[in-house]
Amino acid sequence: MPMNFTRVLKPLRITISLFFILVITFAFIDFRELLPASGKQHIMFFQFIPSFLKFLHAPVFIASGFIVVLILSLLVGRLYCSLLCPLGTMQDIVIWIMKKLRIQKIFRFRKPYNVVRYGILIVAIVLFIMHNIVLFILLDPYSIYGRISSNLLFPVVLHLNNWLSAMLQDAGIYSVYPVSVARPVFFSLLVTSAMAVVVIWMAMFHGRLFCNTICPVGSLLSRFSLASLFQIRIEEKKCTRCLKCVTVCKANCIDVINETVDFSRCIGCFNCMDECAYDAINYRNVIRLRQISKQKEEGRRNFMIAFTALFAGAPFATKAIAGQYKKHKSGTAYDGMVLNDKPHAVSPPGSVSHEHFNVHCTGCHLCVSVCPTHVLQPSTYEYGWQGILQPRLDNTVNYCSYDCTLCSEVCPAGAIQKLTVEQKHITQIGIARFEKKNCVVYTDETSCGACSEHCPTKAVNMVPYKNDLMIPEVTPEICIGCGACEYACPVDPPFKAIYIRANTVHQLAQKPEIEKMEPSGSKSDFPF
Amino acid sequence: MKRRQFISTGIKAGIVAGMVPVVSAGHQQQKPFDLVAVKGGEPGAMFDMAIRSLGGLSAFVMKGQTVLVKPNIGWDAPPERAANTNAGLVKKIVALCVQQGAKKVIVFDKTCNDWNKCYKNSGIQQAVTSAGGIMLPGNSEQNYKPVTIPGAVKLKGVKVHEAYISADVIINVPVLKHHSGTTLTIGMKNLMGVVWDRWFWHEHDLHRCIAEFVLYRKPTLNVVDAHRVIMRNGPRGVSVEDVTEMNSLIVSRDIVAADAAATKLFGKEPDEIGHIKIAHNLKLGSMLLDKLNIDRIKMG
Repeated sequence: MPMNFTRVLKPLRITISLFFILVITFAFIDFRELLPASGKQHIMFFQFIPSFLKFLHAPVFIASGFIVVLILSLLVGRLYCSLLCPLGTMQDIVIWIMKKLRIQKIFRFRKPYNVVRYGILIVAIVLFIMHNIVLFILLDPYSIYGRISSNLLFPVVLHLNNWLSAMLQDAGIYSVYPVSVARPVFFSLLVTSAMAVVVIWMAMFHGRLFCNTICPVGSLLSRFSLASLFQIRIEEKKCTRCLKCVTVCKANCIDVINETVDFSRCIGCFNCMDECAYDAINYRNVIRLRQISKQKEEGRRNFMIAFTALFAGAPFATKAIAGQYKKHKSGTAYDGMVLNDKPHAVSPPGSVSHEHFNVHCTGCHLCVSVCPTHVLQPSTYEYGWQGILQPRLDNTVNYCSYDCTLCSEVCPAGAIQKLTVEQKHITQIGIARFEKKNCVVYTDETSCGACSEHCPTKAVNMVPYKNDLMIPEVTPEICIGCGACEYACPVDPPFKAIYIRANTVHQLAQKPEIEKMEPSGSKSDFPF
Repeated sequence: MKRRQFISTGIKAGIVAGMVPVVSAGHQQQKPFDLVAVKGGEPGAMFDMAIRSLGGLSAFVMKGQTVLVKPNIGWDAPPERAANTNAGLVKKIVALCVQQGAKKVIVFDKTCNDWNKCYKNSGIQQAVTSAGGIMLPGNSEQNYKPVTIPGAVKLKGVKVHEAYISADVIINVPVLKHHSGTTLTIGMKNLMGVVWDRWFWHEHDLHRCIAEFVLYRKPTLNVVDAHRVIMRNGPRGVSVEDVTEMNSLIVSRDIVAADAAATKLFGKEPDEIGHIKIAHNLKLGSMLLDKLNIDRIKMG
């Protein structure tokens, strides 16, 4: 290939990767809703695991991003890791900063940790076949980056906005308005912070070690890389063994002594090609080279096994992960009040069922970020251990807006399916349960009705009680489980007088019956 | 500078105050109306008629004052559902205040649904900004300051939006609606939208809290929008079928009287509504409409 072509690759890689990390990050912190929700989903088109999980459920074009990545890997290697993966680019930025600070300037060749990286990949695939995607949730690089954006960066942005807003309001400017910041969920914050520390620490001192040791997407793509048509190779005749390429290789995969490149670990950053003064390291058509090494044979075999396993597992992946949900000790009386009994988490409208949701959601928290009321919160153990970090509706924080479908529009994994507003209005994610013994109308014999007031379908209605008082009554058929009643109920949790019990399989609610208003005899006179 | 401003404002206020009785006296000689009820026009036009009957807006708003206009913007619902105060009415009031020389005309509500959507879809945000008013967000706790309420039994202290505390003039512009919790929501109930913690009210005798909050500060003027009225499934309403056209407006300085008259319009008796009865007994106003001097105007 001509020399000037190789010189263009690195700047091109940097431009594309910065573009993706910027738009992806912006999608997570866009609290003024400047980007359309569907646009946010399209930005995540290439994100491997969400796209793959979505494709399993609905093999359509918008879910085919992972196929593009696979084809790319079979042509020129793991470009996903350097161009498209936001966590990869985040590490590159850390590495760049370390270089600028003159702390970590050069890299050297290191041996791969094959047992660890393929061990993690195999366990992840086996668990996936057993309908458990907990390792995808924990280790999918896009989802880790999403959680860093949503759990760590987003609150900082919101607080900055509110600080700015307060300053501007004092000056009489009201265009920057304050926004509410949800209280952090401890477990999610802990996992996200720990992961961020691990990734950043590895990047600071070991280049792309995370991508080549822990990341299951990196490990899977590495097998495809070995089968790639074009691979980066050292040309013996041209190489002067100056080791310059080795010192810039973030993947530690260039072995100049043996004149080999471990292409399974090459993340396609093109630093080596940019650095080599002799054009000695470059893409080669490996078929033409006819250098099918033993390693490559092995690689292809392993890849075929992994590939088969992956797709063989697919049909099973939609099966249930029933049961194993944490159960409260229900019915414990406290001061005559009844403890709320919530055996299951409430999953977002459009998530079909826990069975569907738990095997599709990788916990990237894009929906958590875009949820305008913050009712969507990362779960801890509410779905069971295989569903950690997947979002659930927490009605103590807020409730689900009747006309809002944002989470269903942004989900890149198809875990939350797109709903129209009309579909949303009849999607029953749970049913309100009224606990009379906790209700202030019963305990204090004073008026309240906050639940019924907020109910968008009047599934919670006030009916005569005693002494002119009215008390709530639930019509389950038209309740959609939005949780407005639970949020509005003035009794403190876990003794809410009305709360949502989740439908683990979402149901269709009936539309509220709409009676014609009988025309009031137009009174022309004032009644006073 | 400050003193001079004060004196000049004082003189102008004096002139305006002096003019009012003169105008009324020339018009019809009788004591000023306690309440004006209008029927049969557009909300904005009905307000024009009503405020003229009360001596013009200049009797309430003076040049350089800060005015809070407090509509009901509680719900994310389009205007035809009548879950929020009529945007045209709010626009008219804001425009008149600006015309009157108000320094600032502020509008806000602590909404029940997502405030951005409520402000926008009610049409009120557009109406207010186009009339020269300022829409303040009501969703931020930092804007709410604790106050104590003298003479209250249940609601001794509450966090109130600073705009309600500091405004020179407060124009309360509720919409008349059925309400599942309090039977009706009118003027006093509308003031729940200026406090931070509503749960406390629901937990501690809602009707009494609603009445006792008026002890803190009475609005200068109450304008009840009864143009379109939610007759059932209130206060949010489920569909337009819950709405009936009343084409009425009630204006009064007396919040209890305004609520009582609106209650009658709805077809109920004032003493059926807990907080109206309590407020009457607390002498915050009068629900005895027979004893009030009412101007009844029919338009078109």
